[in-house]
Amino acid sequence: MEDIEQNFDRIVRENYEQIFRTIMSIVLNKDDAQDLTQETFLRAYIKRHTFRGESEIATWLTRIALNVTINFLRRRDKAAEHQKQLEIPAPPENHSEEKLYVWQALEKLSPDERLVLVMYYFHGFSQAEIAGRLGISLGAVKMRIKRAKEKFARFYGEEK
Amino acid sequence: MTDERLKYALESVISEIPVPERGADEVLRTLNLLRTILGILELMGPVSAEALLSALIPYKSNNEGGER
Repeated sequence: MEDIEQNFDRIVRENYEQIFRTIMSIVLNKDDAQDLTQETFLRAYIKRHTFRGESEIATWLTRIALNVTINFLRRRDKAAEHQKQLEIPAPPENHSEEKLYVWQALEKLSPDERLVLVMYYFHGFSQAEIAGRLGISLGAVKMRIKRAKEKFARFYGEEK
Repeated sequence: MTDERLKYALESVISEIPVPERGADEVLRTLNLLRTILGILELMGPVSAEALLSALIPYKSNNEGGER
């Protein structure tokens, strides 16, 4: 198993982009995504002794990143003022027309909806694991994924 | 929209999200600070921690000297 302590700097460099993109795809705010990415790696460093090598380091980091993001969304839900100030970033440059539709459809979803789509379809987490991480029932997760997918498909169709 | 189509759509967009330049460097800078703090805390046994507390809160050591 890899020695996390000795290789942590390299682990940060190798995984920074993926972790940032995962968080950014949910919060859609560059500054928040940068802060949460930093928090992810600091938490990972503090918890490095808990990594048992049962999964890839990238997967372990992604789980921490999603927990950090979930906690952030809960905090933000409570702070309604921040919600009003949320800036929606411009879509990434050099996007093809097709990808622009995808991005714009994503923007129209709520952070919670983006969260389940990213966890389920992008990272391939099971519905049971999503339920555990969000602290909701399996049925609620299934419903949330179904609704998020339907909304995404509808917005995507509208954009096209 | 099929699951495969949605998965592909997400992958294609997320993989192109621009990443801040030197973002990893900033994380490593903060991480080094954390390492320093953790290193200091590790070196401090309970006695050292008590000494630090006394230094930070002078009135505490005065009170322990018998002034009540």
